[in-house]
Amino acid sequence: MKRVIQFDKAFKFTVAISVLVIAAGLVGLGVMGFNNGVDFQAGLNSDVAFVPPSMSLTFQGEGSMAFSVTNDDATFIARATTGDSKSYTFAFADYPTLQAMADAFNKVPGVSAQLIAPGSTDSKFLLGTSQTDSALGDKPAVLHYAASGASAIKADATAVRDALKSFGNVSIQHVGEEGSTEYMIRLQDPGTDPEFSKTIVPKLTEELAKTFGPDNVLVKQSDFVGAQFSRSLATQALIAVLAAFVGILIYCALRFKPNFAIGAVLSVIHDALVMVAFIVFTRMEFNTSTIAAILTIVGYSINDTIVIYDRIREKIKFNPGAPFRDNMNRGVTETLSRTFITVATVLIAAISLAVFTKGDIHDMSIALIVGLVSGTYSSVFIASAFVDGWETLAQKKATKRKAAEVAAALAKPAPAAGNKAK
Amino acid sequence: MSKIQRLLVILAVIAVSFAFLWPTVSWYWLTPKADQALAVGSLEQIRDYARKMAKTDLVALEADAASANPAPLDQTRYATAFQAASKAYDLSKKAKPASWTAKSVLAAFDSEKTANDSIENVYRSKVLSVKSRQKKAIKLGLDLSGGMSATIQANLDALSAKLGHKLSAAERDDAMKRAIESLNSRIDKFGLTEPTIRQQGDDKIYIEMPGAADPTKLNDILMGRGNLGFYMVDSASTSKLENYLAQNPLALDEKTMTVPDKTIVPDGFVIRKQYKKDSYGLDEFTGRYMVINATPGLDGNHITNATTSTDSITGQPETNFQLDKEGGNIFYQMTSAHVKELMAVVLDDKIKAAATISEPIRDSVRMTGFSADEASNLALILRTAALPVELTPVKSQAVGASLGEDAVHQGVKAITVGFVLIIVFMLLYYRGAGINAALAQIINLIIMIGVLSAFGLTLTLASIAGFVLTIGMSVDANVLIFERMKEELREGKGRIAAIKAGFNKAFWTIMDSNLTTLIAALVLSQIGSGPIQGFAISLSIGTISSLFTALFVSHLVFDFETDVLKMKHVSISWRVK
Repeated sequence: MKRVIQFDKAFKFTVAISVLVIAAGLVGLGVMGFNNGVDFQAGLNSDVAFVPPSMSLTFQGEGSMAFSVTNDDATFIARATTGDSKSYTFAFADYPTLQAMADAFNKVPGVSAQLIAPGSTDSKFLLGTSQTDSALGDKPAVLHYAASGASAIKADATAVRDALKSFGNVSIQHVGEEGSTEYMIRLQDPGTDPEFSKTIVPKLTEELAKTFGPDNVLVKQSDFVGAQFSRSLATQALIAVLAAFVGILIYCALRFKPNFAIGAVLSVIHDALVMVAFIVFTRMEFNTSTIAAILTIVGYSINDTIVIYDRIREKIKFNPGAPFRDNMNRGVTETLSRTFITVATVLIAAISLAVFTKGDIHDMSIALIVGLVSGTYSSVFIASAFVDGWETLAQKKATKRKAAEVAAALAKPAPAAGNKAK
Repeated sequence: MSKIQRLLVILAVIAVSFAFLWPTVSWYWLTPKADQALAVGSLEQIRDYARKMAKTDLVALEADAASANPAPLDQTRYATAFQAASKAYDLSKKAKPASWTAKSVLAAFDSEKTANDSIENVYRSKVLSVKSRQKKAIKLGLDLSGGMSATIQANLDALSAKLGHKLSAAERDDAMKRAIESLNSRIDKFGLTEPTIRQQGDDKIYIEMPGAADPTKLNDILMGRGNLGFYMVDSASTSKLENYLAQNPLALDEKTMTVPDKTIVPDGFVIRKQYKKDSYGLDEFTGRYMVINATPGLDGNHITNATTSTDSITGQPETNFQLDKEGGNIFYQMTSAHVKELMAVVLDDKIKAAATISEPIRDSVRMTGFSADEASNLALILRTAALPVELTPVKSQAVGASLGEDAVHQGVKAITVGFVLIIVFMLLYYRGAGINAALAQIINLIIMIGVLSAFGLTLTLASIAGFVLTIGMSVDANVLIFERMKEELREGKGRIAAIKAGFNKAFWTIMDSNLTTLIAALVLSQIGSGPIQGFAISLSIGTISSLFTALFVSHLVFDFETDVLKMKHVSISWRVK
């Protein structure tokens, strides 16, 4: 038989630490609040790159012509007046310079490409227009390229901030590798201008074009969220989580005892709050992905807790006479290797997400890793500790009552005691 | 169940999952880009394409037949016409000609019209079959495919204030219909990809335009009210144009709406297409072109209300609308001058209806000659001008395609590496039994993606993350069983007894833990929306399929090893033999 680890010895300590962490998190939340992402704060988020033009494309002829650039190639899709389609794809590997690309583009019927950047530039730096799947026409569509060194646009965060002075509350964050000129620009909706949602996007592009030149601005992504929407999302998420808690509570109360159910829900709430503390103190952006991370941990932690409860219940079945504490320690010890292996596999998944993704999903994976550790810890040190505290209290009460009864029985005449024995 | 039956169940599940996966594979990997470009267009564009292709083929074939050219035709150029002709030969049970010439192709059909219709049908069904593949394939969310989406709020309070009373349910409904109608006509139908417009909740509209990621475009769609007007039709020029287009089916330039022959359309007149509603409530081109006055006889701003009713004597449905005083005067002059002529109702350059003026009319107008549906559609269109609904975007998103492509690469990498590492870990830790777990996980992945495509769910980066985690979590059921088996083996049990006890004892633990997770996931999927819902659904699918693979698939593999491979021991750990 394996040695049984006396987990209960650590309970006082762990509960104190958890309470401290959560309390600090709640205080932090009260003082600093969340670093709300665009989902929860009305405004506009724009991913803008300041990149010089590489060439301009025009299309003249029958039908229509669409153009798109991916990481590996550039594609034209021609649609004749009959609607018949034909596509032309040029891989960067086959046309290594912008000159070669432009020459190839010029061979597409109706298309004329006018090179702007040095022809010797590596073609893999080619970027599309801000209108990615652009329909080409008489008006030249400007393509960009990721320039480096002397030809790069001089756009550091301060310059961008200066250009957007007139917008008031602006936050600018550098995106991508060092030396790139790509920024996440966040403009808050002050709520004073009813036309904000309609006019903000063109206004932003206009202001940036004024400073950096109209052909040097490439809007890669833009998100606008209005005030009403952001509020409804937050309440909806909260309601969903609370409803999930109630569901878990009912199922656990039916399958286990009510005190187990309360312990399970407490441990899940614990994990959610630990993650909140982490998100608040690291100033990680609070958005739908972070909410999804918290929800995942709710699912994971409940799963972990139930497995341990199950084993404790089994121990109680086989050993009904033993004190609850012994059965609990035995159950937790026996499931310990499973606990470690399962959290290891999920951690592998979460770490691979954190390593390979960028932006929101990367943040979400980091929050998940914290949540996984907390979820595993809370199954033992919160969920089991709660049931242990409850049962120990109940046992103490029972012994006290018994002692009182015994005392009463001793004090009273014999017949009363005889009645009890029946 | 016997092992064979169990194997058959597993194979059936895998086969069904693959069947659901097939459209996704064939759409994303096996469909040429040019075919994709055709299929993502709107139904109207596809119809247009088929009609024009068929007409071009027919004109060329007729010319060839008239010149009595005995040479066999180019089979690849006229592949569609050949297909239509041989189908016609089969149907009429006539013997197919030995050598195909233009004449023998045309001889397959009774008339020019059937020839045209049959060829058009083949063209259309070809594109539609590709389109149905696209519809069945897993859709990529905007964060992965690039494109633009917006949730638009209809300002019903402003409308209520304007009308001076609280809106009834029917009025709200009508206002939403008007808002969608006006968006419908303003969204660029000739963009590359078919846009999505649908009502969301009580007072919001969701629009999505994959591919086009220009956020400034949204304002063009939302700004201003629809351009409704009444225009006089030049009937003589219209019939001239019809004759001309019958001879030169491709002469009309759709972009500029002009024909090369400048004598057909007089100065001050323009060509417009006539539309009607199809069964989905979408605008459908009727195939009719009209030559109308370039300036409206009466602007739609003068309409004050529009309703439908039925004529008390004939029972014919009719559309009634009222004009303000100034509008009534203008309309009276216009209708007096053009009695017995055709007048068109035009919204944003689309002819929505046309009617002959029977007598001079002032401010109360009655239009007849429609079906009940057409009459109520026309009333709706007229009301878009009378009672415009103010629209404000509450959320919009535009993602460049290259950014989406990056996201796909990241997601695929994370899935692959995470999955491989988990399997390597299981093989190293559980040795032989790790193979069971690996097999169960592979099948799990296939089922998860299969179900995802069966439900037509949209794949986003968040749902990919959900899947990666679900794979990590679903290993848990295997771990529970294996750890139980190890305990049984440590107590000295043999292979068969240990496997049996392992599965039996772990069963309720697995059920309890997965059911609680499932409860949480299902509640979230019912209450949450958008990303939360997508995430919860992938978690639910993963939980259910991991129950199946851990309890059913992995058990069968153990039994197979015992009975067929005659294994006596369980290879499950480095310490327990």
